[in-house]
Amino acid sequence: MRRVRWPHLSLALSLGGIAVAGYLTLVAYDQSLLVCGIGSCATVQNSPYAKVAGVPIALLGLGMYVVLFLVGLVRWRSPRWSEPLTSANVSIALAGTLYSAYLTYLELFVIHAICQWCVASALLVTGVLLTEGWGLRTILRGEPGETLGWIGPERSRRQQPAP
Amino acid sequence: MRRAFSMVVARLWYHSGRRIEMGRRKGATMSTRPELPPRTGKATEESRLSRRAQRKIEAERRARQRRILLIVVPIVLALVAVGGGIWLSQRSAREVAAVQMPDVSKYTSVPREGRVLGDPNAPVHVIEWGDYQCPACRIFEQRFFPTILEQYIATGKVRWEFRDFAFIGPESRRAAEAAYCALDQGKFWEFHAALYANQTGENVGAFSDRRLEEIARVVGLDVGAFRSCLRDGVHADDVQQMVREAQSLGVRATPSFSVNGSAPFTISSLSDLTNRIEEALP
Repeated sequence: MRRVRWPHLSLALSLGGIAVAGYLTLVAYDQSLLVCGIGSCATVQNSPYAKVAGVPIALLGLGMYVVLFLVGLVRWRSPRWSEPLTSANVSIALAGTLYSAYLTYLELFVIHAICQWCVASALLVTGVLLTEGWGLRTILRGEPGETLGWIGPERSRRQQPAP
Repeated sequence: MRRAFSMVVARLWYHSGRRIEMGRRKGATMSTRPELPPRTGKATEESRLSRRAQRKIEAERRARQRRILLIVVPIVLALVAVGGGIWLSQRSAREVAAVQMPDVSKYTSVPREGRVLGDPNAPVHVIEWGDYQCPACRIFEQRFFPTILEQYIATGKVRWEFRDFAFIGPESRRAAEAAYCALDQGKFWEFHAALYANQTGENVGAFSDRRLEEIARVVGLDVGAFRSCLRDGVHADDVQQMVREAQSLGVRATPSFSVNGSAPFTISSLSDLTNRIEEALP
């Protein structure tokens, strides 16, 4: 099992989010859809909840993932800002997770259709929240040399030869 | 793998018993209870120690405040943002429900008879099968049909007929029946365009009876006659008949087209259709 630093995991998850939300944004703006087959209509994307104040929520989601990713990059380059930046990312990811929960509720109980890419995005943002939450906990504990701590066993223990 | 897992468990177990404050002071040699410094007997030494203890307490207090700031502030901000987002979302979902009237001037400049548009003697007869809830049909109607209308129908080359293939759900059938009721009042094409302009989603009330009446009102129909036509299901059988006929001809998706009686086909660009029309022209 390879050790993963939590900031890198968070970056990877946000990158995945950018891909998923980017795809959904393209679909939202795609005006070249020319066939509706049975079960293939973009029910969720075509619902009145797919836009907030005229902006497709896919675009809002894309913006959120881009911000999460950029904040993660800045933190990676300048670790001394990691406290407020991690706190900011926790805030953004928490908002994203709660809003995704609201959207999933709409899909299940109001629109009665599920969009698998929207579910993927909800899972990704929840993953970012868990990772950033873990990171904030690590930072606040101030474990020496672990401002950008490890997920997994500590290095010293890992380097011991197996008995 | 098992060893790594057991180490993770051991580590979590190790941390779970420790308070956060203890974790922060890992490696520190100072006493963990600075408020009780050891007595030395000398007054100056004592006051020096107690000042140090005071500073320590102060530092701990600041650290606690910082922790609260870093945890509580993001949670509060996130809750405010989500609350605002849900409020906006609910508001804009209701806004969509307001019925709009599209520009229908493009239909008034060409001859028409019921659901057929264009010169009755035009050499090419094109049938379009559509569903009023299908977003692809709306896109075709709003983005591509004006070109067809201008280049082929208004020039007398094509006679264009719209037929219902209402397959997406109950509101598709109701919308198709409503268009039939509008046809009775001679405003099929206006109503047809208005249905697409007011498409908001599939079976979410966009074409509920109340909203269909609202659309009839903005189109300028006799709403009383329209209401009873829709309520009594005057054209329910006509729509079912049309859908069955399309199915037997091989229509499986919308919009589908047929040029001069060809087998129904779907398109992936406008030229797929214009090429077929050009081929059929004498």
